Amino acid sequence: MAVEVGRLLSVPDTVGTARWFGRLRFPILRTRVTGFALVVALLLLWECSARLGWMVSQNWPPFSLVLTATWRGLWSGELAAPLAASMARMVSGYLIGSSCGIVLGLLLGTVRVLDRFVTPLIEALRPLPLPALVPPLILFLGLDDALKIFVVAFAVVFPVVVSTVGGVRDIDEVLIGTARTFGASRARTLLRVVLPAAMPSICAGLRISLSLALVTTVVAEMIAGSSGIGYTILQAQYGLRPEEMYAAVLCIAVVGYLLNMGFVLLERRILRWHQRADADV
Amino acid sequence: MMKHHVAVAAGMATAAWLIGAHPAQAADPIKLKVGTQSLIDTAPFEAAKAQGYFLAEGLDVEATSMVGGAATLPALAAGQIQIAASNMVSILLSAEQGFEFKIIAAGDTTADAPPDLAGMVTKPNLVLTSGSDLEGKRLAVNTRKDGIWLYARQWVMKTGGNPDRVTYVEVPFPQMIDAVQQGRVDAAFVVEPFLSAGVKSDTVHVVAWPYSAVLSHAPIMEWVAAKAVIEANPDLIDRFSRAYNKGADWMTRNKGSAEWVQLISSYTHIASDLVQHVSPPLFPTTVDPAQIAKVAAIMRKEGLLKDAGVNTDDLLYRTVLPHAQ
Amino acid sequence: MDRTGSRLLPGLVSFVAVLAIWELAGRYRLVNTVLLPPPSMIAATLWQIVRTGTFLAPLGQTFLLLFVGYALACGFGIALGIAMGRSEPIYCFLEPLIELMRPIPKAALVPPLFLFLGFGATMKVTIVALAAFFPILIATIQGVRGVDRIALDTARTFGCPPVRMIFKIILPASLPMIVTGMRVGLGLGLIVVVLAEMLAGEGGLGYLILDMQRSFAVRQMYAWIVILAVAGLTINAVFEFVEARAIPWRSK
Repeated sequence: MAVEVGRLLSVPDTVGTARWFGRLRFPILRTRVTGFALVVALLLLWECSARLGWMVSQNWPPFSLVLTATWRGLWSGELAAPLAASMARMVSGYLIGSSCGIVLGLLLGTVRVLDRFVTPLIEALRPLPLPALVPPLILFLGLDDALKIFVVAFAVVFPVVVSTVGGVRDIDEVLIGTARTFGASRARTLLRVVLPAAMPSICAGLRISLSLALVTTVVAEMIAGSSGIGYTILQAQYGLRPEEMYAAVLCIAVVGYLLNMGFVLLERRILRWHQRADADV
Repeated sequence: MMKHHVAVAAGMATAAWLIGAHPAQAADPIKLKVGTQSLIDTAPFEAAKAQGYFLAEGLDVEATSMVGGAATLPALAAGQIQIAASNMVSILLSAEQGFEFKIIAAGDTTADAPPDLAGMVTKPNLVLTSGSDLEGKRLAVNTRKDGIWLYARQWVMKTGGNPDRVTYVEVPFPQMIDAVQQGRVDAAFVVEPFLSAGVKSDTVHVVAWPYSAVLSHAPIMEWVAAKAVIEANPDLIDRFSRAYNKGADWMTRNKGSAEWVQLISSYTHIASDLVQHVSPPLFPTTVDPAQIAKVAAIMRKEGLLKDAGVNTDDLLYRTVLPHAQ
Repeated sequence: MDRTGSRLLPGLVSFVAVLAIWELAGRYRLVNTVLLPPPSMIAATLWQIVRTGTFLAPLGQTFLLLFVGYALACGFGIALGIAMGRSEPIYCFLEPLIELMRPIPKAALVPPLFLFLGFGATMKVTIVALAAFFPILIATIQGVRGVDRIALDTARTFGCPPVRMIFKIILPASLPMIVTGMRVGLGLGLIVVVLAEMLAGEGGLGYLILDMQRSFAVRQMYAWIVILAVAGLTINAVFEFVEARAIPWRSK
C-alpha cells in the first residue's frame, strides 16, 4: 500500500496536489504518529477549555480528571467489572448476529425465491429503533442478558446481511458458471467460490457491525439492569460524576479501537487465505 | 414466533412457581424480582435491603435498576418483575390504558412546605416570581406530559399565568443547569442533586417550588404490583410492604445522619457532601386516597386523563391504606 | 407493471403470514394483548391516523432531519473516504481519531453534544450525520483501495490530472462498495433519526412513538411504528431504484 501511494505521490502531476503531502520526504507522515498527535492535541484542547473556563459546566470536567477517574475505576474494579460484563454480552451478541447474517446473506444472495419472500420483511424491521421495541422485547425476553444479547445480535445482523448480499451479487456470473460447469455442487460452489469472492464485502460488513455491537450493548444496558458500562454511564451522569461518565466513554472508545485493530489484522489473514483459495479453484 | 410463546409460557410458569408455590418458610427465602430506580425517592427500599428487613421477612430481593423508568410498567405487566417503583403520573396513565396494577407500598411525597426535591431555577440575575412572568419564556422540563411538566403548568396557572403561553423544552435533568446557564432556556424545573449542585455553584437560583405550591404532600412515586401477582400471593405482598415500611421509618428516623448520607450516596452514586445539601422528600408508610384523587383531577384538567378515567380508590391495595395499620 | 407485481407478491405473502400468526396469538391469548395488541386492533388505530392525515407533519419532519443528516454524511464520508483511501499520510492522520470516535455510542455523546450544540435541530442533524458517516467512510476507503492499479497507472501515464482521475476512474470503480456503505449508513441514519427525536422531543415520528409509549397508549405506539416501518421501506425502495440506475450491472 505504501509503495503504491508512494508511486502516486512521486509522479510529477500537473495539478500539484501531491506536493502538499511532502512527497514522502518525511516518512513519519506514513505512520499513525500524526494521527495520535491529532488525538492528543484535541484532548489538550479539552483540558484547556475546562481549566481555563472556555467552557463552564458541571458536565465538562478537564480531561486529566477523566484520566485519573479511569485509572481509579480500572483498579478498584468499579469500571473494570462493568466493562467485562459488557464485553461478554457484546461478544455473544456479535457472534450470534454475524453468523446468522452471513448465512442469511448467502442464502438471500443466491436463492432468489427466498430473497423475494424474506427481504421485504427484513427491510421493514430494519428501521425500527430499539427504544420503540422495548415493550414487546421485554414481554418475550425479560430484562436480563437474553434481552441485551438479542438486541445486539439484531443490530449486527442487518449490516452483515446487506454487505453479504452485496458481495454475492457483485460476483462475476462467469465465475459461478465455470464452477458449475466443472461439476461443483451447489453447496460446494457456495462455500468455495461464492463465499471467498464475497469475502471482502462480508468483512466490510463485519467490521461495521463490530463497533455497532459495542454501541448497541451499551445502549441496551441503559434500558434496565444494574451491570455493564451502559448502566455505569447513566449512573455517573445522574449521580453528577461527569468525570466517571467520560471515563466509561473513554474505555469504550479504547476497547472499540483495539477491537477494530484486531479485526483488521484478522481480516488481512482471512482475505489472503481466501484469495489463495480463490486462485485454487 | 411460536417458540417465543413456549418461552413466555415457561417464563410465566416459572414466575408463578416463584411467587405462589413456595411455602412460607423462613429457612428458604422467597426470590422476588423488584424494579427500582437509583433515585433518592427509592431510598426506603435500599434502606430495607441494607438493614436486612427483607431477609427478616423471608424475602430474597433481587433489584433491577430501571433507568428512566420507561420499561418499568411494561416489565411489570409482562410478569418479568413482581414489584416496581413508578411515578404517580405513569401509574394513573397506565391504569387508564388497562394495565392492572395496585399500589402496595407508599413511595415518597413532598412536604407541606418547601424546599422540595425539585425546584424551578433561573439565572441569578433574572427575577421571576409568578406564572405570568414565565409567559413567552422557555422552561426546561424533563418530559412533557409527565409529573414535572404537569406541576409546572399548574404552578403557572395558580400564580396568575397562562400555561399555554410558556414554551416547554424537553431537556434531560443532568443538562438542565447548563441549559439555563448557556441561555438556551430561561428557566428549568430541575430535581436533586442537580438542583443543589447548581445552587451551590451560584450558577442558578431557585425562584419557585411548584410541587408544594400546587399540592402539599404531593405523591411522587409509589410501589406497584400486578393485580394477578397480588391475588396469587397476598402474603408475599404483606411481607414486602412490612419490610419496606420499616425501611421508610428508618429513613425518617435517621434523616440527616451520617449513615443516612452514606446509604443514599452508595446507591445513587451522588457524592456524600452533595447528599448533605439535598432536601429529601417525606417517606410515609400509607397513601392518602384523597391525594391520589387530587393528582388524577389535575391530570384530567390537563387532558392527560379522560373525564370518566380511572377510579383512584381501586388503585390502592389494603397494605397502603391508613386503617390497615 | 406485471413484473413489479410478481416481484412484490412474495413479500406481501410473507407479511400476511406474519400478521396472521400474530393475530391468532392475540386471539388465543398466547401473548399479553395489553403489551402486544393483535394487528386488527392496531390496524383500526392506524386507519384513524392515516385517514385524518395526522401522520403527514411528523413524517415530513423526520424525513427532513434524515435527509439533511444523511446528505451531510454522504458528502463528508465519500470525500474523506477518497482522500484517506488514496493518501497514506491523510489516512494515518485521521484513522486513530475516527476509530476512537466510531465505537462511542451516540447516547454517550449526548451530554457533550447538548453542551456544545444545544438541543435544537443542529444537535439532531449532527447525531444523524455522525451515525451514517462512519459506514460510508469505511466502505469508501475500502472501495478506493480496491481500484485496479493498472487502470490508475495507465491513466497517470497518459497525464490524467488527479481530480479527473477521481471522477473518471476512482469513483466509478469504487461505486459498488460506496453504495453498500451508503445503504448501511441509510439504515443506521433511519434508526438514529428516530432516537434523536426521542432525545429532544419536538415532534417527528420518534417523539410520537416515545410519547405514546410513555402514556401507555400501546395501540397508538404500534400504529406509529408501522408508519415508521412503511417509511423505512419506502426510503429503501427509493434507494434501490437509484442504485439500479447508478450501478446497472448489480441489479440482475
